[in-house]
Parts: sequence; structure tokens; C-alpha cells
Amino acid sequence: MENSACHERCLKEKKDSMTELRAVRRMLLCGLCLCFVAPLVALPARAQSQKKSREEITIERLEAIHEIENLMSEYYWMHASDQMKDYLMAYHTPGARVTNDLHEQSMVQTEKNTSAKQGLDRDARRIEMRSSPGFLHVHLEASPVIELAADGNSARGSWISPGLEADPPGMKPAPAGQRTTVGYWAWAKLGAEFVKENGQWRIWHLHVYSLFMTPYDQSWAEADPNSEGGGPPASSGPPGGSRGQGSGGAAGAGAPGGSGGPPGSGGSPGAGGPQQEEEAPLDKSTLPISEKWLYTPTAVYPDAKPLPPAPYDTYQFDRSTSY
Amino acid sequence: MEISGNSSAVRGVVLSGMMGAAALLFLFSSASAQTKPAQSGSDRQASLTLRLDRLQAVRDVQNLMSRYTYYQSAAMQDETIALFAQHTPGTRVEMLWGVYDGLDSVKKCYKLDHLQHSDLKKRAGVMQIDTLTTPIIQVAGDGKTAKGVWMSPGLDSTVVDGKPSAKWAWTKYGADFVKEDGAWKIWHLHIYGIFLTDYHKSWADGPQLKYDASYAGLIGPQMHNDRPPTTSWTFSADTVFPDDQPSIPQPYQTFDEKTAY
Repeated sequence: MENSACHERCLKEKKDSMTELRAVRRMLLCGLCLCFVAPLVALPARAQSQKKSREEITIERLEAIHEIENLMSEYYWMHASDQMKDYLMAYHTPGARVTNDLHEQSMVQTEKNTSAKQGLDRDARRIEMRSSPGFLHVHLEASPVIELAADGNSARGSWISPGLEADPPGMKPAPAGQRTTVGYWAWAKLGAEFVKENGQWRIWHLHVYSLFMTPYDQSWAEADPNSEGGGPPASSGPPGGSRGQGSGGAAGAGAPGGSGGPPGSGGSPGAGGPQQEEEAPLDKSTLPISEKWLYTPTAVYPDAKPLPPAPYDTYQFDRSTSY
Repeated sequence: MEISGNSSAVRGVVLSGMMGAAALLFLFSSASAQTKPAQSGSDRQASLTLRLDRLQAVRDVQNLMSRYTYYQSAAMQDETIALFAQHTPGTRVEMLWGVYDGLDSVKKCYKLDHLQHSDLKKRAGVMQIDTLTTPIIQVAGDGKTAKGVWMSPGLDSTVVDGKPSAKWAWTKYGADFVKEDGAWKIWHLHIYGIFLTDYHKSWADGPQLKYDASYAGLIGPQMHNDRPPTTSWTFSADTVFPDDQPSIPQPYQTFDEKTAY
């Protein structure tokens, strides 16, 4: 009896033990399930909190347009006092470029071309050249049209830019008998495309479409279209408009923005000729159309240089409409 | 029983551990969901309202300054004075010939040292137009103040001794703004010169008419400014364009007097 009772007790204890173990196993499984389920339960809450309301999206888009207008204005404030503008450009986005129709040329900028050393070199040159008195390049931004892509990843804008310039004596060789410092009217239109880099809007593409450049006392209707807008003959034309940076292209009186070539073009100060060092030939199919246009009494005003941006969903390059 | 007792304890520990882990995971997930933005519903609404107010401020400030130039071109001095902060300390205007400190001086500036709207005899033949372009406007993160700069191509037409005189008058504007009773007002206004030249003369030719204290002499025999101008740059062949007149406003949280225009 004792043996039998002991056997039964042992069996019962073993059974209880197995039951407990199964219970523990079930608990383990339940616990594991909870661990997986808890984040899943939290995710909808997270998604809900991250989902932007219509109001938030609208606010964000309006803030972007304001930042872009400030950005373009800052570019030309910097241009007026000839300060570095590199930080305003989207150098870390492939295909960043500046195009100047006076030169019928695009300058494609890459991160490689804005290495720290080159940047410092340019800065040093600029600081040195800024001591040159008599330099005045004031280009204004008026009539803005700014469109932000529906996807919010890019933006496009156009401006009409009245402006004027003056260059220091000797910078702009003058024909015999003329004064060496000349004041110019310099009007242009601007087209620009923007992207965000590290949360900041930057100028990705800047295109300067010339209208006219003429000495202050000469009508734009009398300007010689073959002489960079009525200034001194092209053969003796000035270097790029910005002190300290070669035009990187043809000699020109330097229309806004494109004058002096894009930051990082590597031009040497005062050098008017081509200076595209370290740059491979450009594939024109990837660049916007750039054709010099200057007002003459027989010229037809171009309607698509640039076309003001229309609302769009996602940026797509198009040679005829991209800036 | 001993085994059974241990199992119960183990079960309790495991169950508690698992529940604790699940709770922690839930909390972590929820917390990370709140990290950006880390706001409750009311905070989020307050943030949206502030962002909307700041966007509205950009438009209001631009309109305010455009009204200023519009009123000035028509010598509407009472309307001009109303654009300035009326009870915020430190209201100031710096004209090309001098500084007017405080609202009373600002009133003197426009009522005594400018043409008056009702003086049709003196206003005959006068057309002074400043336009505002190339704006950079920054509204403080706290939404209480704003700063802006503009480039201003303009013209100045007067009649001197019976002879008409037309000049190009290009300047720059820097201004601080403050909200008073829900409306944006000009707090500090500073006008900086670029060049002033007869319309038929090049800005590159010298000597130019100077944008400095002597400019007052072109306007009237006795001006009522409190002190001389703090800036007096005018372009000429021997000057370098200043890069800090005015300084370009950068994003900021609260107003700093050191950056005042």
C-alpha cells in the first residue's frame, strides 16, 4: 500500500510538474507574443502622430516658398557685395550648374570642384580682390513666380532682374578716349531650380537669360548685340563680372549670377578666357538650351527664356524648359 | 509540492518579466513615435498656429514696408507715422542725413523734415519713388519680432530754382518690426545709400552727390534729427561696396538689440 501510495504520489507530482511546465511554456509563448504585438499596437499610434495634416503640409509648402525667395535674394545680396555664395548652392546634389546665356555656356558643378582647397583659394582671391574699389554689381529680383513640386522635393522659380554695374578702372579696358570706369545698365531674367540638402533649400540650377547691357548713357535700342550688350568690343571685353573669379567662358560684361561663372568654376582673377580646369567635356543633352539673346530693334522677344514655372508633381529634366 | 511551488514562482517571474518587457516595448515605441514632433495634441496645435502666424507675418511685413514707400512717394506723413510702433520703447528711424530716436523724434522726421501732403505748392514737380525688391525677411522663432532687408531702386524728381531736376536714387532698406496689439509695426528703420546721381550722369562718374549728413542740405535748411547718421556710404570709383550695410538677417529665435538696424 505504501509503495502504491508513494507511486501514485510520485505520478501525481510528476503530472503536476508537467502541467506547471506546460503552463510556464504557455506563459513564455504569450510573453513572446506580447513582445511582438506591443510594438505593432504602438505603430499605428506612431504612424498617426507622424502623418501630417493637410494644414501642416500647406504650412510646410508655404514655408518652403518663403525660404526659397529669401535664398534667391540672399544670392544677389551676396553678389552685390561680392561675397562667397557657395554655401547657397546645392553642390552635393548631382548636376548642380549655373548657365549664362551671354556665354551660351553651362558650368556643371560637382562636389569634386568645390574641394576645401579650391574653396579656400577662391575665398582668398575674393578677399584680395574685394579691396578693389569702384566695383558695383547690383542686380534686383522682381516679379517672382515660385512653384514647389507636389512631392515637395524640388522647386522652380523665375524672376525679372533689373540691374546695373560698374567696374574698377582697368578691369574693363575702354576704347581710346573713353573713361575707364563705366556704368552699365544690365537687365536679365532668371530661372532657378532648387533642392533640399540637409534640410536646407539650395540653388541647384541657376540660369541667367540676358536682356540687355548698355552703357548708362546709351539706349538699349542702340546697343551692339555683338559686343556683349553694347559695352566695349568683345575682343577687349571684361572678365567675368565678379571680382576674383574668371568667367570660365567667353569674355563678358557679366550679367547677374552668371557673371564670373559659377562658384567653383576655377577661373583665375581677371582672366577672361576659358578656364574650365579639371572639367570633362559636358554632355549637352543633359544641359538646358542656352542661346544668347539681347535686345535689338529687330529681335523678337523670346517667350520661353525662361517660361515661368507651372505647377508640377516631380522634377523631370527637359532641355527646353529646365533652367 | 516543492516542484509545484517552484514552478508557480517561475511562472510568476516569467509572466511578470514578459509583461514588463512588453510594457517597456510599448512605451518605447510610443515614445519614439512622439519624438518628432514630441508634442501633445494641444502643443502640436500651438506649434501649427505659431508657424501660421509667422507665415502671415512675412506677408504683413512686406505689405507694411510697401505701404511705407507708397505713402512716402505721396508725402502722406500721418499715414507714414501710423506705420511705426506707437508704444514699444526704442522706435527709431535713420534717414540718410541722421537718426531720429523715439516716436516723438520720428514724428518730427516726417512732420518737420519731409514734404507735407497738404503743401501742394511745394509738392508741385516732386516725384520721389522708392521701390522694394530682393527681399529677405526673417520672422523670429518666438513670432514677436521680424527683420527684413530690401534693395530699392528709386528716382528723385524735384524743381530747383524753377528748373526740373531728375536723379537716380538707389538705396537699401533694413528694418526691424514688432507686433503691437496684434498688428505689425516698423520698430527700427534704416535707409542705406547706394548712389544718387543726375539721371544723365553715370553712377560710376565722380564726384557723386553724397548720401551722408550733407544730404540734409538738399532737403531743407534745418533738420531735426537727434544725431548724425551711423552709415554714410555712397558708391564712387574709389569706394568698396560694404557687405554689412545692412547685414543680411538670418533665422533667429528672439530679438537681439545688437542686430538692430
